[in-house]
Amino acid sequence: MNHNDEIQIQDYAAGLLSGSKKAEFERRLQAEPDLRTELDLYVAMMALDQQRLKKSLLGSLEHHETQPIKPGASGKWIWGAGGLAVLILIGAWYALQSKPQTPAQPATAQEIALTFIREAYPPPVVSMGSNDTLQAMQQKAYLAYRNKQFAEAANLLKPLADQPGAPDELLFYAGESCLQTDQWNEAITYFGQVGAGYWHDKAEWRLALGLLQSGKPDSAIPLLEKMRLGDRKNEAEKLLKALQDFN
Amino acid sequence: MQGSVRVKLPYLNCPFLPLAKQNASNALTAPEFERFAAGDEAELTAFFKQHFAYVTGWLIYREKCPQDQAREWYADAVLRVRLKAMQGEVSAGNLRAYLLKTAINFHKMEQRRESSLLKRHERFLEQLPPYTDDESFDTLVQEEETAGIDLKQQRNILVLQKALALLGDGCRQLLTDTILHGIKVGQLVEKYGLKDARGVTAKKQDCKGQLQRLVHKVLQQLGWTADQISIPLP
Repeated sequence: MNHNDEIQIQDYAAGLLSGSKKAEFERRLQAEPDLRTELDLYVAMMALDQQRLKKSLLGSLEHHETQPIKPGASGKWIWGAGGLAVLILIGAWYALQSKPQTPAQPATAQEIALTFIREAYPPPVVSMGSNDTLQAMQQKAYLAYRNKQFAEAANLLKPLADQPGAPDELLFYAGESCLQTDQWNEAITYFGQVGAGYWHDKAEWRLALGLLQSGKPDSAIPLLEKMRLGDRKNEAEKLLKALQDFN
Repeated sequence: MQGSVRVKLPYLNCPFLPLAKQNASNALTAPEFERFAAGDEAELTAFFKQHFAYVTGWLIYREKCPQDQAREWYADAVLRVRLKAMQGEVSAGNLRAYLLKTAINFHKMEQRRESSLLKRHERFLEQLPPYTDDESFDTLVQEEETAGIDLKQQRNILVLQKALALLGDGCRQLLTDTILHGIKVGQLVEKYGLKDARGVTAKKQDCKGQLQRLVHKVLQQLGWTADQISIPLP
């Protein structure tokens, strides 16, 4: 089955095919039993996954006060808020004029890095069903990480990550748990071991932050320079500028 | 197709900012989008909450959609946008406008979507009790007219639900990415740390084989036969 068939199966199941495309696909379903079984497998799996996700998403609104906003209302609200903001700005300008000005102290690279570190990387994704085949200790560690009990997660993950051939995801979360508990050197070691693949870029970013915290900016700079070309351009440039300003 | 229903793009009401700038202020950051497009469920929930008020508000007040349906179309639209992000077909910058357009399309295509195969399967799942032992599984299969799907399709769901719960995490994730999200194998080489696209294809076949064997095992446990379902067996 090719990629086009997969897309057609998705669209047909969701009711997004119409007219001649729908008729043609239904003709193929009659003539190709394999396509029919693929459709049945897809639609059953998808229904299970959609139902689980929608239950979780709609459930997340239970403790969330947000109500639908009337589209026309937001414009009036913004005009009002805009007017208020202008008044506040004028007031603030007068207040600043009457006081001796003290320049705001720019943040150091270490301070900026710490703000990035404190936004912990999201817990591992486990999809569909609840039966977990991970080792018991790893399950417990991921659960602790999910509950933001990073010290416990670090204690559980470190012995697993120290085993030869530990997978990259485990090394990454061992490093991240250490980073969240200020164990900079351990974090650097684990992030440094993550090999090429899905976790590599993420590990390099966290490694650079760990290096800055442990007072090794010279090792962090080449990593940050590399990130200037990628998705973390803004963050990397902010840190590099702070490093330059304080040298 | 989704694109066949034309909708007016939501020109926003903020008098200060042009549309593009407003969208930019609601856009996900690069790391957030990366996580969203990688299937991270915490990021999905955050995205869902972030745009809930705006999109459901638009559906209710501008499109005259009933409130309870607006929530459902919105949830469907968020999952559709996530799927497109996972397939690399949308970028971070225009997600809110795309999400609103998708939700409006879903509302306008209500009749066609409600009768779709997927919706009928979802409705059947909604009617199921939360837990059932193996002995009473036969009682879950209903008349075709009541269930909205045929007997084989009902059994497919019941058997797969049990088989997927027995499947390992890695395989479940890989089958979710390939079968449900339609991500090309070439894009999954790095994620699964495999050597090349052929390695992903081989792993996918292996996982599918494992799932089929589990389906077979569940069938035996339930006392059902292979011709009572329509999903492939080993």
